[in-house]
Amino acid sequence: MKPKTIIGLVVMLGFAALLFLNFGEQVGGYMDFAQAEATGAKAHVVGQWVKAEHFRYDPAQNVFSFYMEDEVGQRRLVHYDNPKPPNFEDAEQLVVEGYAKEGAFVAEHILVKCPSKYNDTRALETSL
Amino acid sequence: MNWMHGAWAVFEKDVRLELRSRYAINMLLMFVLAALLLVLFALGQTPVSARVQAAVLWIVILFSGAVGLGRSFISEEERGTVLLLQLNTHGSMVYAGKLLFNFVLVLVLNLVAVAAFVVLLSVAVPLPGLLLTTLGLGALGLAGATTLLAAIIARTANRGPLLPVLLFPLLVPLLLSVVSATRAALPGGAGWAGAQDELLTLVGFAGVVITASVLLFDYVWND
Repeated sequence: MKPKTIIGLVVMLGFAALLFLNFGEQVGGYMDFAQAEATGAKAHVVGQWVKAEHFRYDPAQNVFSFYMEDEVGQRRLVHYDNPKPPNFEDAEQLVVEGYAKEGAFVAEHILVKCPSKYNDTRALETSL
Repeated sequence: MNWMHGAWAVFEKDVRLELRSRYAINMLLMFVLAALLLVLFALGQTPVSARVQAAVLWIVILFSGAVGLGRSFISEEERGTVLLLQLNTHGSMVYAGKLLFNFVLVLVLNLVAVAAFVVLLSVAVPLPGLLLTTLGLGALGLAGATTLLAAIIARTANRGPLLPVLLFPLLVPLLLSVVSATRAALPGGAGWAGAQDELLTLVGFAGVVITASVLLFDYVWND
């Protein structure tokens, strides 16, 4: 092989590694609110909606805001640039995907985990 | 030194030709203005989230780029000047010159599109530095991917529609990152810290595409 080809391949591998590593990182890993605030990068935070606190949807800005408590009990205001997701009240668990900003959390996506209507153990027990 | 001189000569020739005919510049400007005006009329007073604004901006840039950038090699084929270039210069000089020309063209296109976008849609940009960095890196990746593909399709029979078809699948990582990074520069965005991964992805993409093109260009260029 010519030296040009070898150098080219090595350089290409380096850039390809940079591309794939960072392309994967864009999604962001799972962490709690404090860690997300420390890094400032994209993050997934798992938690529950705090129903006792107020929540509201601002139609002019198209922002839905609510309080969420993560798995270690830290409570933060979450802003979501969309209307309230369907089934939000039924959710037993939320996963917000976004980044921390100015003491609050800006969610780009919300995954709503609802209890499955096909695995209702109580219904199963009563029917037995 | 000699190599730089040759590449610069190809670049200078393309710039001069472009300034005489203004083919690509006129087409790109018309496309950008028409597309943005359409968006403006369609939206009216509706508030649009920053994510949608970023996506609209890059849709306009991508489509006008895909239409205008294929010209660089097709025009050589149409004028019959390919043989002349092949005889007088080395393939890598032609590639470097064309890449530089396409890069400058995309950069101008990006700046015009963003200026029109900011003025027409009255978008606030809290982090202009981040937006400019994103535009520069995006232009480099777009020009790098387009230049080799344009050289390939210039030899085919159906030149017109082939470039967008080949280009889109290749540009998926670039588009995802560039929209995300633009979003970070708009109000309520994640800022520099949040766009770090996207910017590094863009550097990696441009690097891969351009090194691959340098390695492969001779096979495309020499019959």
